[in-house]
Amino acid sequence: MKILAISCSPRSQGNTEILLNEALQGAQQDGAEVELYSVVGKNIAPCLACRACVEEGVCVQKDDMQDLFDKMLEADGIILGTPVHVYTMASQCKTIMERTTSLRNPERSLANKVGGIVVTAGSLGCIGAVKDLYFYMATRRMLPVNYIAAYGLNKGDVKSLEQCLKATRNLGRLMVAVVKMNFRYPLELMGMPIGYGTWTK
Amino acid sequence: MKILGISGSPRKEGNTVTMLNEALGAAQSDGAEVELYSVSGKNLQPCDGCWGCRGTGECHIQDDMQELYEKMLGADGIIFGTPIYFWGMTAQAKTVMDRTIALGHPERNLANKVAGVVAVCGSLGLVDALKDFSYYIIQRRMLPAFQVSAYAGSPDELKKMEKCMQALKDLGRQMVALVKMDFKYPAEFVRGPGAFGTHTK
Repeated sequence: MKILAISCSPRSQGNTEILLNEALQGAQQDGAEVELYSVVGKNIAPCLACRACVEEGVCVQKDDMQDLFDKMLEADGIILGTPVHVYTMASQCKTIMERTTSLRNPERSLANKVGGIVVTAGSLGCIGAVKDLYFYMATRRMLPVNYIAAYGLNKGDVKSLEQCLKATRNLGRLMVAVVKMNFRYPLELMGMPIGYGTWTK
Repeated sequence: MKILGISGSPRKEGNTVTMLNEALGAAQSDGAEVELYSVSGKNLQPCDGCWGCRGTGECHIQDDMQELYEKMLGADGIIFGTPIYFWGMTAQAKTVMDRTIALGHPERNLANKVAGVVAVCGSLGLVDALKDFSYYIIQRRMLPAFQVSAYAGSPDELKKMEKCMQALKDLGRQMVALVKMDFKYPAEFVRGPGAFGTHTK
């Protein structure tokens, strides 16, 4: 079983990464193979909306996202971690989210992967980020299990939040427990899109 | 197996009820006992924040919500329905949501019930309502089914939207299929509080 944590923070060793590592420790303790992926130093370009992926389910942009696609597809559980920048998720997180619109084939999809969320913020915007990430996971037909939201401004501030660290370890353990349940959505009954009355009637 | 549809619309036979009935009809065809509950004409008072429900799971406000609590607790699956007022769910839908704060008790809660959403809108605001419901459903440890949303002017217009009607039928069938899977979240990993670094460290 593989649990992947994706840190969308531009900081190494920042609060987002500290919490993701805490969650991964919890997952590892319960027997999962874990990996932390950080966007720091990576070249991940925005989606070009070329729709080449509609046919192939494969994104044509050859950058570091290709490696991350493989990691995400291999993982049984994914914890998305982002700091709050300008009252919502960091653009690095939104970029990854948008690039995953190419994962639309049954053979290349995020469906049934267990989802977790870590959001850190210095001020306002936690809830916007959490709702966006939950909604994203629900529409990808992932199984979201829990989130951690923590306020901290400087690097390492979250280390002093004892209950937070414990809850974050538990998020990792919950991910493992839910992956083991091998839940599968009835995908044949869950077609896209979800909004009608636009160009889809 | 019981599937309950809750309409948060003040209209008895509007778009929201039309959507819910389409989904409930399909659930019934797949063997479920179904019921539509509409807030229309009901006396549902807002939560008064007394926290009297803490430890009991019971709300002291003696209004029509008492009957709805029992219907919700007795259901295996709940489809929440709302029209969009002021770019979000209606006050009636939010009132029902707020009153379910009382259902946070080990013996009286919504955990592991399957939850679907339908929302209908004339202009803007669909996605905010859907995100709010996603967040609510996941945090109450309900199992999210898919969500169907539509832009529509009238029930007649809605009924002509073939793909939308099909998606609603699929949602009803999904509800039944998901209830049959008897999914139970691992209960040992408690969720909440919402954020750390506030009054919770």
